[in-house]
Amino acid sequence: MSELVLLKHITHPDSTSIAFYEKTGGYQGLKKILTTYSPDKVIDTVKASNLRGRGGAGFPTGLKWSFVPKDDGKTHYLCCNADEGEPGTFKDRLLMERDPHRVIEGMIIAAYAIQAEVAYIYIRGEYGLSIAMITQALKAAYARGYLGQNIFNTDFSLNIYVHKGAGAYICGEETALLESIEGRRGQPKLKPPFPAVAGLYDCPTVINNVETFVCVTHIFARGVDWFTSIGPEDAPGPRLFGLSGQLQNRGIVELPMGLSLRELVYDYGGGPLTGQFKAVIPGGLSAPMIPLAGLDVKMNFADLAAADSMMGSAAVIALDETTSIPTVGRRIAEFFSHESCGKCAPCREGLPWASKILNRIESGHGRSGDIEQLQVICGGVFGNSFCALGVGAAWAIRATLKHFPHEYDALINQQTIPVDDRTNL
Amino acid sequence: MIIFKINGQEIEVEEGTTILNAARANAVEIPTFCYQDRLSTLASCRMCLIEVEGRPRLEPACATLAAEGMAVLTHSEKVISSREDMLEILLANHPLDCPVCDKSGECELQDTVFEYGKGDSRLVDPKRVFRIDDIQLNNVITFNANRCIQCQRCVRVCEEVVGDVALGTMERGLDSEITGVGNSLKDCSHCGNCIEVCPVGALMSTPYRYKARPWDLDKFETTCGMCGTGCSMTIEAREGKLARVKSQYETGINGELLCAKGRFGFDFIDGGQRITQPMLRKNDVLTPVTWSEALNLIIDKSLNILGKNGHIKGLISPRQTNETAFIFQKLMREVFQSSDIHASCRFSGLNLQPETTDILKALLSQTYSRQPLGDIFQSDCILLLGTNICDENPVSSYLIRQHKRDNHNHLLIASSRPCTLDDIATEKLRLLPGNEAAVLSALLSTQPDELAISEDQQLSDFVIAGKTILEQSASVSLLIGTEFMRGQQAKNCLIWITETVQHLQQQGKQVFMQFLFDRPNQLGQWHMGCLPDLQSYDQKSIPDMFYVVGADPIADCAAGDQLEQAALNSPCLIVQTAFMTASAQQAMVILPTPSYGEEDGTYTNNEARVQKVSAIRPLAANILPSTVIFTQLASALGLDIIPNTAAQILSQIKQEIDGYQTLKEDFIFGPKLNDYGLTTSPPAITEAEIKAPAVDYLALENYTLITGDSLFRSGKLTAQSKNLSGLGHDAYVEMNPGADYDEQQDYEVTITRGNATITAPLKINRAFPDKLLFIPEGQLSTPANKIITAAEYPCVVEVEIKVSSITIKSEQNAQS
Repeated sequence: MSELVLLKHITHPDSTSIAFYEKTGGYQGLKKILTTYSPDKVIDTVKASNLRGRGGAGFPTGLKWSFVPKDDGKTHYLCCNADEGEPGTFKDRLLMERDPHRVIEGMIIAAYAIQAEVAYIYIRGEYGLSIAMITQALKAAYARGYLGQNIFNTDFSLNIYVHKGAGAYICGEETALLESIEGRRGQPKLKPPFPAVAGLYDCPTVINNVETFVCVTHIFARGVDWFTSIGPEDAPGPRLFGLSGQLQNRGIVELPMGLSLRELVYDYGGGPLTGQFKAVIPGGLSAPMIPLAGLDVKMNFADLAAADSMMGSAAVIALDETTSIPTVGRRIAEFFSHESCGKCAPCREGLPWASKILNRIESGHGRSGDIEQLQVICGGVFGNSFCALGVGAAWAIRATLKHFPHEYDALINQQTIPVDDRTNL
Repeated sequence: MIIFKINGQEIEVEEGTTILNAARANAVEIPTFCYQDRLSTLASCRMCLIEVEGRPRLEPACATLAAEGMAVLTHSEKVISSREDMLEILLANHPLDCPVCDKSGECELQDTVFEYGKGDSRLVDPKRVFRIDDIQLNNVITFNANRCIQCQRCVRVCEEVVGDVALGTMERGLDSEITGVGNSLKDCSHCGNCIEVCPVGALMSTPYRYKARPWDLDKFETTCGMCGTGCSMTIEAREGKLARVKSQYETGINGELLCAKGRFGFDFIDGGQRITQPMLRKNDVLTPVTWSEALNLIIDKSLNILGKNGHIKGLISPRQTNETAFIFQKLMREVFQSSDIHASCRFSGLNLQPETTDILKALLSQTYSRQPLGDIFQSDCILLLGTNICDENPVSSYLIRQHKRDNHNHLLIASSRPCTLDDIATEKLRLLPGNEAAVLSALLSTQPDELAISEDQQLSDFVIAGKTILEQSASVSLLIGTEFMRGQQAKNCLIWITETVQHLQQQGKQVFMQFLFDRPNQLGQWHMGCLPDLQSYDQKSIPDMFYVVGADPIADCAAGDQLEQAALNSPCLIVQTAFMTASAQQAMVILPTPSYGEEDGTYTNNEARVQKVSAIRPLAANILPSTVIFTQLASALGLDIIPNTAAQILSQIKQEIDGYQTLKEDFIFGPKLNDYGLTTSPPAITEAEIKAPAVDYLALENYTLITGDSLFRSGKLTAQSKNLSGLGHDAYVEMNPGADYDEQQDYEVTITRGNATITAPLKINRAFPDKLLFIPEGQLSTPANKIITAAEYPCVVEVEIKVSSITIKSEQNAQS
């Protein structure tokens, strides 16, 4: 890809100011849309672009917007999911901290498309700077008339509110996010009904990721054809990949999807810190790791799914040969059991159990039968949990067992403490 | 209708049916924990996961709708394996408490593991433990957090049905724990429904703790004797001693719901002072005598009175059964030649004018709806008028809340005191008792009524909004309390109730009307004929003999009430009672009877449904059933009343009482029915039209006293219950004293009216209207406390509030 689009102005010292944003063409796409497009035309345009959501599920954005009932007399809501809880993911933070107006403009366009008059940005509480930058940008946008009543003297009005998260990964799940905004416990809700039909306060609601909104502005600024010319047909447009872990170059890189994971971690990531890569997690901690032998897999939705993993939030975490995989497995189990909301039995009870077993294995107190039991627990959680948290956790743990059984066996067999002594567990 | 398959078998169900309900209707078992019919669906326990052919993941049966052509497997390998995994996972942190847990033997987790579990556990790691000791959440709920499986049934029943929202969950993940917030559990309804719905031994009943194992208990299906809702309950006894009261899912109009009085109040039968043998007043001292001596005295006196054309008056308590009432009124009418039979101590207003009984009779037979509550709650508009339903008929209020959640209909509340249903009411109004007729008149009038343009904002808002809602409603349910029957406006209110029903019916609406009685068999007594013929008897004259069955007119009647005066002054007062009462203290003859739970019979509830009341233990020696006493007296006085057993009497009732003809029959062999069905309205008779009179509206201007049941008191009887006595204040005056008084201080209130005065601790309720005072009925039962005089209800009083001279130590619950 020749030029940076999503990250074009990120490093500019004035990138957060509204004056700079306007000077570089900001809010003009919005003006054109509000004054000359119908909401349906906006939806059709986004549909034609085949933009896939950038949060993790990759659901086609235009299609999601089209599910919202029209002329139903109810208030419609738009939510921006800026909870960014998936470990390894930090792209939304970059966009909010360094290009907040683009996020806002994208939201206004989306709100217009689904005829929403109220929008919320749910920002995780830990992102202090993002909250500050977005709040400041909202104030500036209101002052310029881009928000509030009758924007650009049209019939369209919109208010955007910032809602701070309070430290729960599960609130990144869209229905749990809605519960949290309503002031309830952040636990996922039954679907159906889907949020587009009955979401916030039982009204039609669309929830999209920060990066998705940013892509929307570029689709209208540069055109559908430009967007679809980038990357594979089923997943077009520029994408922000996070690179972290044991590789040389850590940070965010903007690329089209479709390149191989090998290319990503070597050409852009600069290769491993020490020796060889052992495994690379392609899409955030809940995505099953890809062992070294599988690095040729292409970074798009379909290929990664076929490799029994997922694109997720495109948060690549690289592990080199100095990493003990059972430690990673233990960390995965601990993270997800800590973040489990507690609603469903498999996740609430199963993940801590897995975590206890993995802790024992890692500290040399593993027993024969532990691996089998982990498989049983992961199997029980994977198919049966209420939401994707359990699924992701079980899937990721199972991948470590699948690709590196020898590392687990070695730890279990090499125990230095007799099995019967449980006092040190 | 939809056709789909379960385990290869074709099933037809209505659209919108879940797979779980379809399975249950066809005897296919699917285990569940978090699902409960009455509550919102969570699908969180994952026990009900079943296989739908063609779908990769298992689906929760409780939340998945059946679809045309679906093929569901409930016992495939995948499903069986998933159930085993779910149970193993649930047992991972569940403590091995069965040997010391009250729930053992009736535990849903135990039962499900036995049926679907693997049979072993491979957990070698330590379990999550919250704490070692159980917590007393309040006087009736003990909590063990380790056992909780987070099904959230307790939280949901408290929020969605009872309305207290006293329980919530704190923390998340494996640290999730059920908890109260602030004082929510100290102040809650103490209904114990959370205990009933808990599938494991996490929430337990404190009074029942460690008393028995379920398999030790003898179970008796019966009907509650507290209020007119008529909840079905199972009283469980161990070796004749009352152990606990349970409510069964799918049984009765209440299902698994009960209130604090029903669930915890029946230990009253073991309290108080029991009368164990007949007594006669000899030389002004109550002396134990034999049955024949006592009965012979009554017979002699009766013959004497009948020979002189004297007058015998009767009074029966609305807690007595239909069978007792039926034989009593036969004794009164056919032997004692008297139709001066009363069935209530408190409704002084009904005895003021001679036509009132006729108007009431006509209303009961022509206007009263004999329909299930479930149907009545479907109306577009429900008007709760003159009832403090949350205190007097708590389970009815729970059912209204649940139905309103589902039906989204309009709820109008006009009552004397605030209640928890106020928060879901479309419109609400605080109304002095006696004003019911004025409000009905305003709601029906086509002109702006003076109430609609009144300066009282709440009143005019209610009337204007109420009118609109009534106009727009195709169906209306009037649920009316009995508070108005205590006062001067009783007759007018009865007329206006009839007028309202007819008026709305003429507009083409479907109209239901029922009373919300605060006693279990008020309606039954009136159906049996225990209504006085006021035209024939001067209520002020003192009767030559006053026969009182189960009631306590000296204590329970307002001061100066004709029944109280009759009891105090009649030369021959006969009191037939289980417990010593103020009336019994003054009696010429005391005859011991069974208490609640010691004889079979039936009650007729608010729906006009006849339900069974069961004996849970045999009678003590020397106690005769009431009906046997009556038939022995009758027989000695020349009339043989044949039916003797409860079953025989019920058959007789079926033949003789209008509307009882369609009741079901018990089987000859097998357990007796719980529910004999609804009675039916007798055929219509053309009555003289009574013009509904214009009525005045009485505004609340001075300190005014009202009384009635409280959340934990049903008359005096419940004061005998140890469980209930520990719950609320025993003595209090409830009012809103204004901002000058705060909750940090203890105050006492002195109420004076004429010569009567009463002092009690102040209970602050900021939702009370200014200047309204409430004292629970049982507190007004001693002569010193007789502030309220007959039919002068509500009454204006003088009030003085000062800082309490007594240090009141509020009971702290033991917490660990």
